[in-house]
Amino acid sequence: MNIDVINVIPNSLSGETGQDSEPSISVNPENPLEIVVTAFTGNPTGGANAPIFVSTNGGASWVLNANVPSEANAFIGTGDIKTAFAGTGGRLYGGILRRPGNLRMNLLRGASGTASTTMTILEDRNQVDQPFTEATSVSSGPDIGADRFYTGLNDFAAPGGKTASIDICLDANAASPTIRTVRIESRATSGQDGPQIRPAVHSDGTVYAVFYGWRSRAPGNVFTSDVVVVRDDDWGRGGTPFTDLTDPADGLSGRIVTSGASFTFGAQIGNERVGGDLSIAVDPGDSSVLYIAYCDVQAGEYTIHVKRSTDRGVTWSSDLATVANATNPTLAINNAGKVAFAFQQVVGFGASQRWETHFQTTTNAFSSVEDKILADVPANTPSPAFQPYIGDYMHMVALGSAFYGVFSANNTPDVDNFPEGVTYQRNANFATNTLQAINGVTPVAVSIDPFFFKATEFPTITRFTRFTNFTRFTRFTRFTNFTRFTRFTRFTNFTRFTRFTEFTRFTRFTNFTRFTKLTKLTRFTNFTKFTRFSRFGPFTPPSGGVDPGFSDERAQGDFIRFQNRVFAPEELALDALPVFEEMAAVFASVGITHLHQLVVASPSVAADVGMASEDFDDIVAVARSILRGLAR
Amino acid sequence: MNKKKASKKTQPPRKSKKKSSKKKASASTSVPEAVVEGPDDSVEEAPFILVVQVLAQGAATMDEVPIDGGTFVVGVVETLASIEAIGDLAGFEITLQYSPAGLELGENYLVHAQSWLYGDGIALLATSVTPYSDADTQAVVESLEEAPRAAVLSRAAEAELVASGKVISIKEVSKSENEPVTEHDPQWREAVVEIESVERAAGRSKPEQVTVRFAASDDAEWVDAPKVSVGDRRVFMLGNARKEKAAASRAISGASPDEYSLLESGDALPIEVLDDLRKVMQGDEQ
Repeated sequence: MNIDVINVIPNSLSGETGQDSEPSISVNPENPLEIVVTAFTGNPTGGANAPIFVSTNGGASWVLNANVPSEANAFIGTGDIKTAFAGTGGRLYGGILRRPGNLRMNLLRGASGTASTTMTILEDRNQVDQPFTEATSVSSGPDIGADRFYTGLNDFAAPGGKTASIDICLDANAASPTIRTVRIESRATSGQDGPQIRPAVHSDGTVYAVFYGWRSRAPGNVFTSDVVVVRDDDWGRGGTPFTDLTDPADGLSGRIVTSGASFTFGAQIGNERVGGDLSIAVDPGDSSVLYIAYCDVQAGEYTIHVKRSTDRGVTWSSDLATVANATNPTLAINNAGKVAFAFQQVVGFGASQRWETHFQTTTNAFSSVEDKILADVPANTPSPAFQPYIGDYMHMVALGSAFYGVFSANNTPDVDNFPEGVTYQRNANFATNTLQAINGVTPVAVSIDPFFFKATEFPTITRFTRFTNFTRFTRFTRFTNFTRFTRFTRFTNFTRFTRFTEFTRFTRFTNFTRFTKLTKLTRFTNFTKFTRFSRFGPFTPPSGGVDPGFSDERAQGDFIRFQNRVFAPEELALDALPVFEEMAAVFASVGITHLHQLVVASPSVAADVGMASEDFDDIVAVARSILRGLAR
Repeated sequence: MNKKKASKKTQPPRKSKKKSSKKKASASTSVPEAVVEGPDDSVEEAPFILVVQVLAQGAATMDEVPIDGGTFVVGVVETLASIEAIGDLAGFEITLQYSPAGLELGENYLVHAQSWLYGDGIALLATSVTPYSDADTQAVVESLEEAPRAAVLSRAAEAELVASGKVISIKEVSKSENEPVTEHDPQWREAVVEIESVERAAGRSKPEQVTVRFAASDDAEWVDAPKVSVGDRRVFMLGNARKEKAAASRAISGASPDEYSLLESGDALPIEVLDDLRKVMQGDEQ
């Protein structure tokens, strides 16, 4: 799959040093270009609203929008937060732990991710932990158009210590929605259930949830649990919601998938506290198929387990995957039934310990997986400012064939830390591995940032897409660092030029073209009577002196664009690069003469040039690293 | 917040030709709905105070901004107040959302604004917009200079007890069996503070010792709450003369009526601020 990884801290907040941990993500099903990411991020102005990160271009760039009710001057904007878009209408729902307060929950509704209005409070009550909201809209039948949300929560007001609960709202877009709290624990507990209660909603009205039923507690906060899955077959609107799945052993509602899951609540791995992790995903094409991930301690190591049911939760597989020393599992299933599994794993020991963020996909229930490491960063820097260090959860969703996710990690700008590549909006110097303030100069301390990732099956435009004179651009066309413009490229009213756009003598400006103070004008720039000049420039701070190296000669010839740099073809010729000098002729025999061709060469090239595939992979990795280096 | 005094070197903005009243717009007419919705219906202090020139209406400098008639592109002529992460905006175009609209192209205005969107650029929500005048701008500059002192006085004024002291012991607050197990457990502690000086004791005798509750937890929920260790010397601003605020604090911490709680960063300050605090409080009394 093609994977993009993007640091979501906006450029205008390049000086940010907060511990932006515990991220979650929501994608607007009606408009996948609109995405919301949440994290423990403070309001830069100390205002009374907590912020969320919003993208309106599919994750390519992000803004911070303070519209979540909170407390003024809070170091972090809000406590636990998880949002979810409705299926239609673009409304955003969410649950938070409100500040000030102690376990005070708010359930919220907003008109959209970018709305300036403070989200409306639909519910406000105390003694609740870890609200986790999923939402959808009814797509057929008498209730068509109704928004529905399901918030898993640990409700300490529940009688008898059966605290696992779900707040159900079946008319969430009504003026005064009705919210009903449903207890989903049917068995005796050790006094309460675990804090993680995770719902999953299918468009056919099937709603699942998974939770830890805490059964016993030993000294030192060691809990032994059942991992329980409950199901409702009709949106949770009947008289006894979430009782459609029972356990054959005791006949009570809630299928016990695993008994005896044990862990110490509050133990730590890699500076991150742990105390149970859960994720659940239902196949959008078949509500009978669902996967869960949970954690417990196995042989002294905190371990993720993944299991599957293909019969609506009645029976369950044995472990399809286990990952030791790992936390924050998150699962999603796309419209082709492909399963994605992301998690964060601690590797190494002592000062050299690192957090690896993995993204795995499988089409055969984990018989084989494609494993990508999205981030491989130090686990000991920066020092934790609070817990959670990277999050009690990270999060991923699927929409169509694509997977969208977010994780939090050390933000050192180092290409080696992000094997699949990474894009920063905030000012960063990858050559010196330093973050830079808004002035592009002042160093900024390393901190924990949220990183958005998107994995696409068939991207409509890849970084290597070549446009011809027949290519038609719309307002939604997304140009990447690699977009290659030719003399035939036609710009429209909607084309948005950035500070990195290179203009040639063929560039055609319209009356809508907007110049910034960083726009490099040439003798070919053609101003019209509509060109607007102002003594004010847009607020686009300098990024540290990247010089695309524009020259008239280059403008007249062919060129190759990679990230923020434009290269003359000869600059990337393999036979001009010492490291490839000896191999240049070999690759030329199969038509690969330049670095940018090598980095995207098909694995089949290995056989064509008589090379072991492992060796070829290594060479491509080296080529990729060199190209990135040259681009900086 | 970065407060910047108006610079004499800045080219004076053109005077507005608008004939509307020069009085500052009242909160009820100038604050967009967006700002007053939600539970906190008071208008917070504006972190941005700018002199701007209106460049375009129904336009924005960022793609993410939903545009309507109250969306303006403005050029910042002068920054009177900004936040540290952003700094001086003079010379930049930014987006300003001012729902009542009614701003005239080319005119200069004094704007109080809150943050809205931070991206490649920034978009602000105006809470107050008045036609530019030298007098209004000077009044703002003076109030900004006074602001830090006013903030300290405000907290001190509502505190029941302002005192310096040394933490001499700390003990864990015992939990009941039914206490929830949660990652957000505040881990309440009771610290006994030996009072060294009493700066203000509103409505009560000057104590020799006080007991304060604080959250020892390193959880995100309690990151703002002050934490103390045995031997620490601090300036404490304890309790609240407003009964409802005091009750709310006790509800959170579970403190008894004769105990105090440290919940906000201003409740326990470094001992080094004591001399400055005394000067500020004495100045206020005079």
